[in-house]
Amino acid sequence: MIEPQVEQEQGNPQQQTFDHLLAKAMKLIYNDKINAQLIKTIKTGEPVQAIGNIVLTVIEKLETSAAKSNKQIPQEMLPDLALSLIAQLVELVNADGEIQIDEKKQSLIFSYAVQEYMKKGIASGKITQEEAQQALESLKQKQTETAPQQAQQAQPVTQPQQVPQQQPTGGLLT
Amino acid sequence: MPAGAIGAIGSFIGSLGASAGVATGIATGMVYGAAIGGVSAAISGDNILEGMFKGGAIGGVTGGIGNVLSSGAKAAATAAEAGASASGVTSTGGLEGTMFAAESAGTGLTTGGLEGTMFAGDVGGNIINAAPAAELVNGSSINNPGLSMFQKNAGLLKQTNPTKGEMFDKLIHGATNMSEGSGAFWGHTVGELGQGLMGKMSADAQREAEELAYQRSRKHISPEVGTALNRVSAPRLVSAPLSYREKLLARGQA
Repeated sequence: MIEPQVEQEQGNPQQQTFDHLLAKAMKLIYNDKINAQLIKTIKTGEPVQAIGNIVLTVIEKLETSAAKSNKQIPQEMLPDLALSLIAQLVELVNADGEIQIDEKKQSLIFSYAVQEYMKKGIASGKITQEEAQQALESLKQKQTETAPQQAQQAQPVTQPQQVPQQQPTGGLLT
Repeated sequence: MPAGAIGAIGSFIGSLGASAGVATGIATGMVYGAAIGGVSAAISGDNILEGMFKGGAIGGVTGGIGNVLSSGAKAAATAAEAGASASGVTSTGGLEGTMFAAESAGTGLTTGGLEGTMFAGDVGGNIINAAPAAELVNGSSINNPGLSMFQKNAGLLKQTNPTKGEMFDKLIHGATNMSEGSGAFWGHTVGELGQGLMGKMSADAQREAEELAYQRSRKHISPEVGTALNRVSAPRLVSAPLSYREKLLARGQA
């Protein structure tokens, strides 16, 4: 039987939408026909840039599909969606073993993806410079508000760079 | 000012936080720092990666930027100041073409229909409509949209009288699709999979199907749901011998 908490999570519309979007994205990434090419593209190019571009491409594809059906992907889901996609791609590449992408590079990928997304928004007029500046200030403000938490999190990454251990495959959900 | 743009950015910002960090294991501070760096670079016209390349050896500088990102707002200044003209962008044209072509083609019986109805209705809407077809299998619970979708496909599959290999492939796709509609429910359902359908498969094939479906489905599930899923599905699959990812990589290397 399904436990009550699981049923509750299933019934969360936002969660369902997010899962749906992520599922569609993952269907692309894990398509047998393309994932080998994905890995090859990442390994042969500059990985940070390559993964960032792939993530943007997938999100753009999802947005286009949604728009064709008069739907709009909730903007607030984009960061989580992007981060989840980055994590999935990094897992794939790291498991391949030829190159390793650590947590810091994942942050850099996200930074790059945000940059490109915002640049496109500014270029298309969807986002004005003023709005972008406001976004920046708001981000800084929010970061300041969470400074104590950050200080704790920032501590370990000042240590020598370490490649995170791979999660055991075939095990439990992590 | 474009209507909704501010709201969109506000939402974007608002969503950054603990949940974003949790989603990937990246520390929340690093996520904030990365976002600030990205927005700042977009405004300034600089390029984060260009700055990284110009700064020196990629590994060292990446580490350096990573440290800065983790420490917060300095990320913006460092990344933007270091940036210069836009660097060349890795081409994904071929990849994109392949991706689109693959999606257009669908993946066969179990996913073909779903591709076309991706956003045609509310999430799960079209899947729910498949409920009557569930009777083709066992007529068991159709309350779950994902299960209904799977049962519909299983029913169609049963009609086609496929070979064991085809059955296996379709089963995986079906279970994967099921997770789209139902999220956490898959772990419970994949073990049932319609006993009439599974009767055509060996026990080994069934276990392998469950494992593959599990590995694919876990990619669809957010950490919150995944945590709950552990309780549901772990006992069944804890001894799975080979992950989907490993098989995937093995094929890629072949």
